[in-house]
Amino acid sequence: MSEPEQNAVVVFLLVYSGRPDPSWPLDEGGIGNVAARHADVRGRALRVPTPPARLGYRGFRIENRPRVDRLPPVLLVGGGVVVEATEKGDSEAWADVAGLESWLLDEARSRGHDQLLREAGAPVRPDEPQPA
Amino acid sequence: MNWLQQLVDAFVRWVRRCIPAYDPQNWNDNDGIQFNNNCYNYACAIRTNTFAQPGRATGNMYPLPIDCPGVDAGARSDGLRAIDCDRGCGCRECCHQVALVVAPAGGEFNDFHWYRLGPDGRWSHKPGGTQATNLDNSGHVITDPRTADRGAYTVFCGCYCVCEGRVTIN
Repeated sequence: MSEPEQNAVVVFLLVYSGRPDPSWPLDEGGIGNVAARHADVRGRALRVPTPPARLGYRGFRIENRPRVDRLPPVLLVGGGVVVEATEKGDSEAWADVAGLESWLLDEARSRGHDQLLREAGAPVRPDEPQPA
Repeated sequence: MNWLQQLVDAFVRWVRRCIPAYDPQNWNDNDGIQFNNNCYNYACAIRTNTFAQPGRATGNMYPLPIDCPGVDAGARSDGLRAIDCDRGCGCRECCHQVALVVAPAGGEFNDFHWYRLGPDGRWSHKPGGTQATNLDNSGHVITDPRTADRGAYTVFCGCYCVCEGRVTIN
């Protein structure tokens, strides 16, 4: 974990099992983008089951370390689903109708993870089925 | 049930007391436990909250790129004992069986992964910081990690025993 990420909103690209996943901090613009899409998802999407765990690309985890008001402490995004952990220890999942995963995939590609995503089985677009 | 059957059952229970059952509820909290413990933690049934790496606890961290010999050396340094997958860990010590696979180098995706064998003869695993599961990438119950759908983790390295009090990970 690099020092700038210690007290930032951090995105983890969930691809590895053993070694640590790639991560990067979100800037103000990125935080605003995620917050808007998250609010949109909560406002109009149906609740759906959490996607099953698997090896390879699974999506993203967004850790809100500074506890920015507009975001929950942790968001999981992947498989076309947005999952938010609740304070009761449960989780709630919504269909990603706001394109949050698609935006995060573009972010990851812009940071040089394009080949890693392809080799890990990430979809070109999140609404495409992942390889078996 | 005759006394011989009771004796056999008691012996089986005694051997299986050391084998951790499939316990996703102890790992899948969508929070710190889940995020900070990986496949190596789950396979060893030891929570460190450090995303444990083979060999790191004992000063023999695997080198990059990741391959079977490198992770094997780290795991052995941590106290895991290599075994024949078909023979198991025996019953002289309190041990359970785990298996190591690798996504080989060649491109960007290069990693290791561990499975653990439960008392019911089925395997489970925890892909990184996501949830523990007893299913493979095709959604099938895992009866043998050598034949399970492992996605990009195409190299099967081997099996090991994790014995109580003999393994240190971090």
